[in-house]
Amino acid sequence: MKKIAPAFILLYFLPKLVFCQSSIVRGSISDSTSSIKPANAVISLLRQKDSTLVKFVRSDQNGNFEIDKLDSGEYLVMITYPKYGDYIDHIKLQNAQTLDLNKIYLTRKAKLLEAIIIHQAAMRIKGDTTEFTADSFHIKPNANVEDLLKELPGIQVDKDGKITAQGQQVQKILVDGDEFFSDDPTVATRNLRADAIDKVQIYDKKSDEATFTGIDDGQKTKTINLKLKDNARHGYFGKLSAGALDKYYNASAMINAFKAKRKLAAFAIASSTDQTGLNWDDSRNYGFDNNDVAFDGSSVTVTSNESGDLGVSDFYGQGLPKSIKAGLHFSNKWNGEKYNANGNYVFNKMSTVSSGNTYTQNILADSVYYTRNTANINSDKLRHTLSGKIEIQFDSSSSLKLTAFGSAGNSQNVSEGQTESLSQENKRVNSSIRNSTSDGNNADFNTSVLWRKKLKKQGRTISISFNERYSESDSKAFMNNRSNFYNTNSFVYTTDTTDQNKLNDVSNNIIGAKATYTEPLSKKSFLEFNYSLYNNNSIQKIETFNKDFSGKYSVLVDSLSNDFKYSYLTHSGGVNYLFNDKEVNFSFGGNIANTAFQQTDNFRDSTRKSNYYNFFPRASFRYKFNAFSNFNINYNGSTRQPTIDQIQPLKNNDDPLNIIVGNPALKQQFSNTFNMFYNNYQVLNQRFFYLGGNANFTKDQISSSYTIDTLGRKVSRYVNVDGNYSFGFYGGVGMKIPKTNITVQIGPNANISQSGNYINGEKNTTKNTNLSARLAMRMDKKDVYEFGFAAAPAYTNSKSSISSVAGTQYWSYLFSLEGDYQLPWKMEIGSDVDFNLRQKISAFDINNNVILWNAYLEKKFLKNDMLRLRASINDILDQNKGYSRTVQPYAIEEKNYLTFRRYGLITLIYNFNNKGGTGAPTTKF
Amino acid sequence: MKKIVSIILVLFVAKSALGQTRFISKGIIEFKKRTNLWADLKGSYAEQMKKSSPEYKTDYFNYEFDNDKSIYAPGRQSNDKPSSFFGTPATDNEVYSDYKTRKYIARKSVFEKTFLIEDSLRNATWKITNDFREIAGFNCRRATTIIMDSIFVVAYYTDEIMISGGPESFNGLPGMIMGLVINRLHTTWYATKIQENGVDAKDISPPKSGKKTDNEKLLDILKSSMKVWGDDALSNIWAAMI
Repeated sequence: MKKIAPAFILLYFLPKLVFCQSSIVRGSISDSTSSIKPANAVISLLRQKDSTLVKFVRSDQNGNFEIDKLDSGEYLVMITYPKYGDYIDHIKLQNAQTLDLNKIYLTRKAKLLEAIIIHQAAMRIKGDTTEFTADSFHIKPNANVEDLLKELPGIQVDKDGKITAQGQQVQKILVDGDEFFSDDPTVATRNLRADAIDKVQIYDKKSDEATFTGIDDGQKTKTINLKLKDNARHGYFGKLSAGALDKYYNASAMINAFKAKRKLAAFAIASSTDQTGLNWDDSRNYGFDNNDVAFDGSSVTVTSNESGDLGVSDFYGQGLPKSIKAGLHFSNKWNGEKYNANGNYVFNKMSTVSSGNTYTQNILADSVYYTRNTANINSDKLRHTLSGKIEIQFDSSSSLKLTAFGSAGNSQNVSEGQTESLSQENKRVNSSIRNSTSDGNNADFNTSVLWRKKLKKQGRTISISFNERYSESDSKAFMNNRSNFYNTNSFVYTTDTTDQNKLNDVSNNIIGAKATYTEPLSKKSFLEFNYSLYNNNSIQKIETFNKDFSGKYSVLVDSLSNDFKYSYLTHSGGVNYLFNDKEVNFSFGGNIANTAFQQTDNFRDSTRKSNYYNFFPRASFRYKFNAFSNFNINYNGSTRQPTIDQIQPLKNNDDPLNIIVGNPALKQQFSNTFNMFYNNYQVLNQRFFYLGGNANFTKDQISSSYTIDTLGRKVSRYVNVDGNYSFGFYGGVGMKIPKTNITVQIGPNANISQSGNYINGEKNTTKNTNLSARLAMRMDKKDVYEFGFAAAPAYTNSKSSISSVAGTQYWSYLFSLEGDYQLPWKMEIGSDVDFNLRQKISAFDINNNVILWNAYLEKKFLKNDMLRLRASINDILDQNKGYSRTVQPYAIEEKNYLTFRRYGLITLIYNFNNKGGTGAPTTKF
Repeated sequence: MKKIVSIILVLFVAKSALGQTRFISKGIIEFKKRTNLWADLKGSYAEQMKKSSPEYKTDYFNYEFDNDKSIYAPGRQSNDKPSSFFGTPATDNEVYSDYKTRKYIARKSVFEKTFLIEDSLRNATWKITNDFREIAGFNCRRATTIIMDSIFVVAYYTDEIMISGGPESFNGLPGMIMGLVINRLHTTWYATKIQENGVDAKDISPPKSGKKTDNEKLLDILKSSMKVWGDDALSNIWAAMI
C-alpha cells in the first residue's frame, strides 16, 4: 500500500505539471571595469520570502547563463564570483515567462589582502535605494533605531529626532514597507530596538502612480524603510521606561507583537519634558490649517503652512509642553499577500505654557523702525488621528489600493501680550495691550482610491485614481485690545480700543480624478498619456461682533466680516516620453492645463472670475555609473494657487498694529524648478560622497506689500512679485580613516536667493546668502567608549535694495561634543555639550550664546542589560535660552522664548523580548 | 587508501589579482571531524566518565572528487587517545555520491552489522544567508537547513570548488561544503587542507561489501532495535542516518 500511494499522488499531479508552463531566467555577466566575462560564476535563485535556495547554475565561458523549469513567483537572483561583490536582485516571474536580465555587471572587491575574512556586506546600492545591514555597525545592546541611524554613513539625527539622509530631511519611516503610526517617525526610531532591524533602506519614495507607471511625476519623499529580522517578525518585544524627579516626568511604553505578516503594536507616552520628540510633525497636526496647493500639471500636492508669510506666529514648538500621546498599529497580509491591510490610531493631548519676547527691525526706505512684542500664551490641544490602507492584488495584472486618513481635534488658547513700535531714534510711536481667548475645532478627512491594470502587452498599463481631501475648522475667539498712539513729544494723542467676538468657519474640499495610460514603443521606451480633473472649493465665513449697550457681542462689524467662496477647476492633459535602460534613464514631456477661478463674495454680493492656461514642461535624466554611483537631474514647472486667506478682501485685525488684508486680484504663481544629485559609495574603503543642487525661478510669487499709516500701524497686503529665484548646493564626504576607528564627515551647504516685496509702494529686493558647513567626527571602541565631535559654522548675509540703513550679516557657530564610557560594574557614563555661539547683529544688542551641557550615569542589570537605571541631568549650567533669528525681505526678527532649563530625571528602562523561532524551513529526510 | 604526497594549500593570495579565478573541479579535501563526548553526559556518572576520557573525539576523512562524483572515506589516524566510551554507530562511513545521477551508496558499520545503503541523494532545502567564514583559505558562505524534521544543520560552502558536495550525505549547495556544524550531535566537520589533482578517476568507486538496504529500511531497523534505549536512541539514530 505504502508504495501505491506515492504513485497515485504522482499521477494526480502529473497533468498539472504539464499544464503549468515553466519559466526561464537568463542573462549575461560582465566585469564592470574590464572586458572579463566571468565563467563559472554561481547564479542562485532564492525564494523571495525566506531566501531558500531553489535552483542554481554556473555561467558558461562567455558569462552567459540560463535557468529553466521555474515556477512563477518572486525570487532573489544572487550572483557570486570570488573576489567580486555579490549581485542581488529581486525578480518576479510570470507563468511561462522568459525573463532576460541582459547584462549584469559584477564589481571587483578592492585589492585588499584577500586573507581577511570578509563579513557580510555592510552596504549596497540598488537603483535609488541605499541599503545598510544593521548588524555591521557597532551599537550597544538595547540601542534603539535612532542610535543605529547615527552610526550609518551620510545620516545625521538631531536632538529632536529629525533625520537627515544624504543631505535631505527624511519625511517618512516605514517598517517592512508599511506605515507605522502614520506621521510620527520618532515613535519608530526611539522605541524600536536596533537589534530587531535587519536592513535600513534609504530611498526617494515616489508617488504610487509613479511607482506603477515608472514615470516620475517629481513627487518624492525621502524615506527610510526598516526591514525587520526574521526572528523579530515572530515574537514580541518592547520597552518600558519611567522617569521622574521633582515636577518633571517622562514615561513611555511600547509593545510590538509580530507574527509572520501580522504586526500589532501599541505605545503610550506621558511627558513634561522636551524628550518626547513632539516637535517634528506637529506643525501639521496642530497648526490652524492653511492648505497650500501646488500643481505641476498632472498632480496636486497639498501642504500645510504653520502660518502664511504675514501671519502672526503663535510661539508654537516653544514653551513648556505637557503631553500625552498613545497609539495602536495593526497590519496584516493574507492569501499570499493578495490582501494587505494597515491601520493606525494615534491620540495626542498637549498643554503648553509659553512666553517670549520678539524684537523686530522693520525696513523702510532709508530708515528702520523697531517693534517689541511680549506675549504669554497657554494652549491646550487635543487630536485623534485614524488612518488606514487596504490593498488588493486581484491577480498578477491588476490591483486596487484604498487609503483613508481622518483626524479630529480641538485647540484652545489664552494669550496676553504687549506690543510697542519705536522709531529709529528709539522714540515710542505706538503701543498696545491685548488679551485674547480662542476655542476651535478642526477635522480633516482624506481618501484615495487607485486602480491599476497591466494589459497583455508588456509595458501597456492603465491606472485610474480618485482623491478627496476635506478639512474644516470653526473657532470662536474673544479679543480685547487697547492701543495708544504717541506724537513726537511722546504724548498720547489718540487711543483705540477693540473688544470683539470673532466667529470663523472655514472648509476646504478638493476632489480630483486622474487617468493614466502607458503605451510601449519598444522594450525600453514608452509613451504616457494622462488626463486629470481637480476641483478645489473653499468656503470661509468670518463674523466679527462688537458689544451692544447691554454688553452682548451682537453688533456685526461689516468691514471685518465676510462670507466668501473661492473655487477653481483644473483640467489637464499631457504626454510624456520615457526611456529606461540599465545605465540611462530619461523622460520628458508636459501638460497643458486650464484653470478657471471663481470668487464669490456673498457678503458684498460680488463675483469675480478668471481663467488661466498653463504649460507644465518636465524632464528628467538619470545615469548609473555602477552599482555604487549614480547621477540624476530633473526639471519641472508648477503652479501655486492663492489660499482663501490670501485672496479674500478682508482685514485681519488680530493684531491691531499689524493689519493684514487679502487681495482678490492675486494671481497664481508659477515656478521652474531644477534638481540634481550625484551619489557615490566606496564600500570596502568605507567612503561616501554626494553632491546635490537645486534652482528655482518663480514668476508672480505671492509676496507682501506693506505701508505704515499715519498712526504707525503696519498694513500688509498680498501681492504678486516677479524676479524671485533661489539656488542651493549641498554635499557630503565621509570616510573611515584607515587603520583607526575614526570616521569623519564634511558637508558644505550654500543657498543664494532673491525675493521681492513692496514697502510704502516702493519695490524692495532682498538678496540673501547663507553658507554653512558641518564637520563631524566619530570614534568608538566596542563595549568601551563612543565619542563624537561636530562643528557647524554658518554665515548669513542679507541686503535690501530699498534701504542703505538695513543690512545684516552675521556668523553663528555650533560646536558639539558627545561621548560615553563603559565603567566597571556594568555602569555607563555619558555626556554631551553644545556650544551655540551667535554673533550679535547691529539691530539688536542681546547676548544669545548658550552652552547646553547634559550628562547621565547608568547602571545595567539582568541578562543582556535588559534593565537599566539612569540618572540624568539636562542643562547642567542652567543657562539654556529659547532663541530664533529670522531674516525676511521686510524685517529682521529675533525671538527669545521660554524653554526647558536645568532639570534632572531618575529613569528606569526595561527592554523585553522573546526570541522567536528561526523561521528556518523543515525538510524531511 | 592513497597517501597524500603533496599538499597544495590554495590560498587566496597565491592567485593573481587580475586573472580569471581558477575553479577547482577535482582534488582531495581532508576533513577533521570533532565530536564533543561530554556534552550529553548527565549526573554523577558524568564526572566519572569525564575523568577517564577526553572531551573530544577527532577523526579525519578524505573527500576525493572528480567532476560529478566523489568518495568520502576515513583518512589518517588521529592522535587522540582512545576513548573508553562504547562507540556511537556509523562513525567510519564510506560514502559514494554521484551528483549527476543523484545516486548515493554508503557503507556504514552500525554496531555489529555493516550495511550497504543504496538510495538517492539527500534533497535538503537550503536557506542561504549573508554570513561568511574563512575555511582552509576559502571564503565560505553560510547556509542552513533542517534534516529529519528537527536537526538544524549549518554548512559553509565555497563557489570556488565546482562540485556541489560535502561530508557524508550533505549536498545541493552551489559549491563545496567546507564546514558543517550539527549542534544536536555536538559534531563539526571542517576542511583542513585541499590537494588539487592527484586524483585517479578509478579510485572514485562505490563501496561494495555489506548488507544491502536503503535509508527507509535502515531507519526501521534502527528504530526497532533501539526501542528500549530511551533518550539515547534518538541521537544514535540521527548519527547513523546523516
